[in-house]
This record gives sequence, C-alpha cells and structure tokens, in this order.
Amino acid sequence: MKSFFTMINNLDRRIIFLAVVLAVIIPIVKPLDLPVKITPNTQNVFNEINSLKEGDRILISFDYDPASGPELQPMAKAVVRHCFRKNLKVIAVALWPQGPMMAKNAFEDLTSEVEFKHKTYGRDFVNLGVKPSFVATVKGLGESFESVFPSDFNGKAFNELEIMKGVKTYKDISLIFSLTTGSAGISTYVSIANAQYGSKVTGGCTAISSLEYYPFLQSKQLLGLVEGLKGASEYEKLVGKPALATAGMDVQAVVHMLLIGFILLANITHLVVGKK
Amino acid sequence: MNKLVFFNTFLVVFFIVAFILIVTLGKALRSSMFLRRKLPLFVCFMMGLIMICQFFIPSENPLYKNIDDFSTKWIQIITSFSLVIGLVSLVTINLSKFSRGAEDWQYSIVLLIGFFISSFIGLREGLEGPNFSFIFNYMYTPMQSTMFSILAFFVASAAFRAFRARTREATMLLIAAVVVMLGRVELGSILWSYIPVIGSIKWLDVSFVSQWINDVFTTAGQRAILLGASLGYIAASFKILLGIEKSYLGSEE
Amino acid sequence: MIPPTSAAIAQQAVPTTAEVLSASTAEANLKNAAITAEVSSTVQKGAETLATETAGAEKPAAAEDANIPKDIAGTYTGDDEKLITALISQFSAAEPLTEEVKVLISDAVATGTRDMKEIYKIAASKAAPKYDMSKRYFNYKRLNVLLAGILLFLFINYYTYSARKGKDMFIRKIGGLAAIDEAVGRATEMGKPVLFIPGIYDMDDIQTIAGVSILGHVAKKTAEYETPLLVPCTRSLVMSTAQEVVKESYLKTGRIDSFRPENIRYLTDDQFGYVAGVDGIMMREKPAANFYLGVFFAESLILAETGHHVGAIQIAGTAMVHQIPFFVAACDYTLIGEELFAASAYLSREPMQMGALKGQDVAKFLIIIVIVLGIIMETAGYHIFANWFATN
Repeated sequence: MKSFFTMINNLDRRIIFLAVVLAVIIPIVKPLDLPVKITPNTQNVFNEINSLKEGDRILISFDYDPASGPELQPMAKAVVRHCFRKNLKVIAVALWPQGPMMAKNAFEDLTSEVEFKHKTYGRDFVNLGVKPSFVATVKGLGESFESVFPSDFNGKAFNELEIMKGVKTYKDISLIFSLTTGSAGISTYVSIANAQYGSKVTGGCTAISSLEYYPFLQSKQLLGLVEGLKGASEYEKLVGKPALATAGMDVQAVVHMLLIGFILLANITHLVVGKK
Repeated sequence: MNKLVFFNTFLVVFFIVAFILIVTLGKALRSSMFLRRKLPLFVCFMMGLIMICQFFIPSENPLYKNIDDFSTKWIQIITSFSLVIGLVSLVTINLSKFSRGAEDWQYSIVLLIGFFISSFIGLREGLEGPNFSFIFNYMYTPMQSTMFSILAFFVASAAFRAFRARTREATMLLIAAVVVMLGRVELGSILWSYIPVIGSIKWLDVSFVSQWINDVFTTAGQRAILLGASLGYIAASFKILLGIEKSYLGSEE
Repeated sequence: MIPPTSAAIAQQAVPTTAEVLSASTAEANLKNAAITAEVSSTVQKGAETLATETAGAEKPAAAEDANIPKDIAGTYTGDDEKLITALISQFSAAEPLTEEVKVLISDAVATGTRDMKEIYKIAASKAAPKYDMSKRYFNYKRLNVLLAGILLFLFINYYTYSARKGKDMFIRKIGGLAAIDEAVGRATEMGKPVLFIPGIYDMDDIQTIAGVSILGHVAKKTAEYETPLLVPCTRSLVMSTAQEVVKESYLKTGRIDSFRPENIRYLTDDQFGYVAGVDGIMMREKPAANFYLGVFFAESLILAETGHHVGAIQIAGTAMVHQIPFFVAACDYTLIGEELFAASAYLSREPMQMGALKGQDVAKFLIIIVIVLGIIMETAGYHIFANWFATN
C-alpha cells in the first residue's frame, strides 16, 4: 500500500497532463449539459445594458489579445448580440494592438447570422481601432473622440461615420463595457472615465483577474462584472443563445473536479508517505 | 489605393531613415554625459512636476486642459517612437545573430521571415485584407491561444505538487482552493448538495461560500497588497523624480 | 456668503456639481428637466399658500452669518423675474456667480418653490464649488491628497536624513532575499548557470526598475563565484539597461573578463513568444537557480513549473496581486508586493534606500490607524471622516 502511495508521490507529471487532456476531450465529445446559474455581477451588467434605450450608444473596448480569446471572445459576442437586439449603437475601440482584430471578428461572426444581417457598419456599429498609450487614449476620449480617432479602423473619416454624429465625449456615451485581460482596460476606464468624467462603466475579464476589480464593484465605481468563461456562459444564457462558453463550462467543471481529485490524492499520499 | 501605397512607401523609407539616425546618433549619445544624464533627469523632473501640479488644478481651469492635451499628445508620439525602436531592435539583434552564426540562429531566421512577410502583407493590403486576416486568424490566434492553454496543464501539476497540508497556512490555502474551485462550477454545487447537513442549507451552498471567500478574504488581502505596493510605487516615483533612482538611465560608463 | 454644501443635498444630487457647472448654457437648459425633477423631489416645498410679501424678501439684505441670510425667509409672492433678479443680486453680493448658477436659480424658482430658504439651499448646493473654479489654480477638494503626499515625502526625507547621520535602521529578514546567496551558491556548486528574468514590462515600470536593481546584486554574486548569468529580456531597453548594470557589477568585483554580454539577450516583445523562448533556455541550459523579479502575467506559472521541472531553486517577486498565488504555490521563496521594492534597500543598505523604506513603513502604520478609526466612525454612523478621504 505504501509503495503505491510512494509511486503516486513521485508521479510523472506527464500522467497528470494526460489526465487533463482526457478531462478536456471527454466533455466536448459527450456534453454534460450542466445548468448555468446566473450570478449577481453578471446580472448587473445585463441589467445595465438592458436599461438602455434604442439608439443609445455603448462603447465596447476590446482590451485583449488572442491568448485570452477563448475566454473573452464568447463574452464579447454575447454582449454585442445583446446590444444588437436592443438596437444600440455599438462603438468598438481597443487599448491593445490586437483588439481591433478581435472586434472585427466578433462583428463579422454576428453579422453573418440571419438575425443581424441588416446591421450596417458605420450606422449600427463601428470599429475605431487602437491608438498608442492606453492612458492617453482613455483620457483623450473624455475630451474629444474625434481628436483621438480621426478615422476608423478602415481609414474612414470620423465625420463620415453616421454612428459618430453628435459623439464628442463620454457624455454622449450611455455606457462603457471593457473586455479586459491585463493591466489596460477596466481599471483605466474606472480611474479615468468614471472618476474624472462620471461615465458608467461595466466590464468583463478573465477569471484570474476578476478579483482585482472587486474593490471597484464594492465601491460602485464598476457597475457589473462578467467573470471569465463562467460569466460568459451566464451571459449567453441571459441572451438566450448558449454557445461556446456554455460548452466550455462542461469542460471547466470536469477539469475542476479532476484538480480537486489530484489535490485530495496528493494529501492522502502526503499523510501515508509522510513529510518530504 | 494610391494613397495607401504612397503612405506605406513613406513608412518604409521612414523606418530606414530612423534606423540610420538611431545608429549614428547612438554614437553621439554614448559620448555625451549631458545628453545621457543631465537632460533626461531634468526632463523627468519637469514633466513629473507638471503632471503632479495638473492633478491639483481644477478641471474647469483652461490650464488643466492645456496640460492634458499637451501631455496626451506627447505620450502618444513618444509611445509611437518606442514602437519603432522596438521593431528596429528586433530586426537588428536577430540579423546580427544570424550573421554571426550565434547560438539558435535558426530561430532568428524564422522570426525574421515571419516578421517581414506579415509586415509586407499588412502594409500592402491593410489590416482588413484577406491574407493578413488569414495570418491573424489561422496562425497568430491559434499559437497565442495554445500557449495560454498550456497553463491548464501546469496548474494541474502545480496543484498536485504544492497543495499539500504541510503547515496550518498551507491547509487553509488548500481548503480555500477546493471550496472556490467547487463554487466556480455548477457541478460543484450539485456535488455539495450531497454533503449531509451542510448540503441541505441553502445559504451554505458552495457557490455562496466561494463568493463570500472572494468578496471578503481575497479582496481584503488584495487591498492590503495593493496598499503596500502603491506606497512602494509612490516612494519609488519620488526617488525617480528627484533623480535619486537613476538605474533606468543605465550606467555612467 | 454662499453656505457650504449640506452633506445630505450633496449626497443626493446627481449629476455632480462639476458636470452641471461645466456644461454650456444650452446644455444646462437641456438638463433643466432632469434638474427640475430632482429639485422637486429633494425640496420640501415651503409654504404652500401665497403669503403677503415681506419687505425683507424684496430687498436684498446683507447676510449676517455664513449660513442662510436671516431675511431670506418665508415665501415670496411677487413676480418670478423680480424674484430671480433679487436672488441673483443677493448671491452675487457674496460671490461672483457663473451663468450656469443663475440658470439653476431660475430652475429652482420655476419648480414652483416659493420658499426662499429652499431656493437658496438648492442654488447653493448646486454651486458647491464656492468659487468660480475656472479662475482658481488649486482644487481644494484634493487637499487631502496633497497633505498625504507631503506627509509621505516628509517621512521619507526625515528617515533618509537619519540614515545618513548613521542611525541604524532595522529591516526584518525577508526570506527570499536572504536566500539569494544560497541560490547562487547552489548554482556554483552544481556548475550550472543562474537565470534571471526581470519581468515582461519595460523600464518605465517601477517593478522592472526594482528587478534590475536586484539583478545588480545577483550579478555581483555570480561575478564573485564565476557562475554564468543568463538574463533573457522581453524589451530592448531592459536588455541594454541590464547589460550595463551587470557589466558595472562585474567591474566593481574586478571580474570584467568573465562578463558575457551575449548572455543578456533580447528575445521578443510578444508575451508568450518570450515564455516559449525562456522555457527553451531552461530546458537546454538547466539553470540551478531561477529569479523571477518584476511584472508577470499569465506566464508566471508556466515559467515556475518549467523551472521546477529542471530542478532549479526559485525565488520570485512581483506586485501583481493575481500572480502572487501562483508564485507562492510553485516557487521556493516569494517576495510579495512591496518586499520587491524593499529589496534594493535590503541588499544595498544605502541610507537613501533605507530612509525611503522606513518612511513608507511609517506611512503604512498611519494608514492602519486611519483604517481602524474609519471603521469605528463609519460603524457609529459618522461619515465625515471617511468622506474627507474621498478623492473628488
């Protein structure tokens, strides 16, 4: 018995990796269809966007790169879907260099659906692109959108964009939603757009960085937060279109159980074999 | 389209001129203590002082907006130049590795080929072009996502290795980790409901407990670390502004 | 004198005074409906019925105290325009008023409120900045930040002065820093190199500067023991600074011939490309001691796990709160948050560094006292203490 636990204690990590591979593949091949419970933070974001009226402008900031795409892209699509259904005007900006391409992909995916085929670039949504220095960009938007983004991602002039007519500063934006993976994003919008210009800010982030924004949630500087893949699956449920995030939650559930199993096994091994 | 070609040609010529200037100016910079020490320290001090003063000027005062505009524009300009410097460094260092036949020069070749092909296609077609989108969606995105996904395996092996109840603190860490992992997935709640007594109490559901741990303990700990780190940042900033901390300028040799 | 903003009105009023005052007159008119609705909801209407005019209400009179003038009392039944003119002249006698505030007074009157006190209170609360801020150069609402900054600056200066005078300053043992010598010694015994990663941010980040200053100390040790030192960098500026810092350390130790600039190399700016490169270096070179000191994000665990796999002793330090748990779990020693900034003082014992560290500690102690006081005051229902610390 002890030799078994000694073997477990010295387990080759490749066996652990193999177990993780199986834990990922099996729920994809055989979905578990686990229920999704909505958390208050995600519900708050949904309510904020839901409270907007048709024609209101929402600023969605794509502050992530393809590395965080698996977690944040489904979230982005769910939120944009909600905005399109509410007939809001979606203005996409980015604080990361790869952000505009993520925005472009999200819009392309949604406008290829029958439900949103009528959405027109320049009238219903726009991709303004990215500018260097995220602090300068967020600050600059508080003074003048046109001076920061004289043209959109495709080079079309600001005043030729129908959606941007009458948009000067944050005062003309009803809500900001920032999809964040790292340093630039939610904290920048909260400390500048909310603190200095009084804008309403919500956000979505990777699960690992969600705890960083809890102080902002508690002080009501951030009105809601969609946290990681779980939050994305909750948002998909709220908009009534389960997709990649919901499928991913099955995988996350199984992998979490696997990790807990490993932890328990490691502790039992530690007890039997003794301190090492 | 003509404008795009003209602009792209201008960019390429600009980069070449910038490269030459950096190489020649670099020699002049290395020999001038005024340019290497006194001027950067003075600029750092003045700009820091201006930005601190701006914080205390009312936003209704036109001076606030003037400083804001001035600093925002200059930050954007300097950041753009630093991107150029990064690109030039990338190319020169890897070209040098290849020409010297240094260790792992083969990786430099791969990097340079990828760099020039994607730059050429991007400049030629624009970011909306089909070939650039292909490179981004089917090469760059999967590679980036894959590297990030490797974390899942390392988390598993780190959890197996590190989450052992060796000490009291390690035990608390272990219990908190297990509870939070259970609470983050619905399967955890389902399994938790099978625990006798605790599982039947609604307000003790693992997702509530997990959220409570995050809201109270984790946030408190984060705030504490943030407070301490912020004080460290402020003190370090004082030292940099006053020229006491000069390591960012390099050595005096 | 326009009275100070009452806390209740200030807390109720949305939008903020700064927003309203900075809006142009045209925009202020557009906001009239919103402001009027708010005003009517917060104002308790004064006398419901029209009362006879009082001589005092018609004639502007000098205020006798800082609060509401005594003769602005009761109700006013005269013409709206006369009332507005009287009020404006009353207020203007005390302080110059902007056009927006005049609009606000008109709005308050337009709600039907005839209680002069209420009108005065509403207009005054909307004109919360007591002065026309566009002509002022100091935002008095940020006095708290200025005082805190000056206090911290004084503490740092005082203790730096004390340290220079030779006063001994105690720093508690920091496990990770005390283990640097042990780690470098281990690498020397095993004949393997030391790997140092100064984070993935550029030299403009304080954590990178802290990391590079520790690199100087580590380089001195590796120079003494003639252990190879590998420093892969993700920014070219960090690479050049690191090269100069390491070279200086080797010069000071008299081992400049052992200095290898090619060991301090620039890999790539891309986060995961850099991680892949460093992992490759670890698997090939098999360093015996790894240092991760600076800014890290998702790559922290990848680096730490790979380092553990090759059998290295690992010392990490970062102020990134969400990466600290990974380092704590995977590394042998972890410098948490400000321990990274304390490192240069701990290692060099320079008076300037020690004084700054001591000053920070005193400031932290004060913050703890303030937090405890704040908890007590808030629990007791006194918000004035906490409100003073809010940054407006």
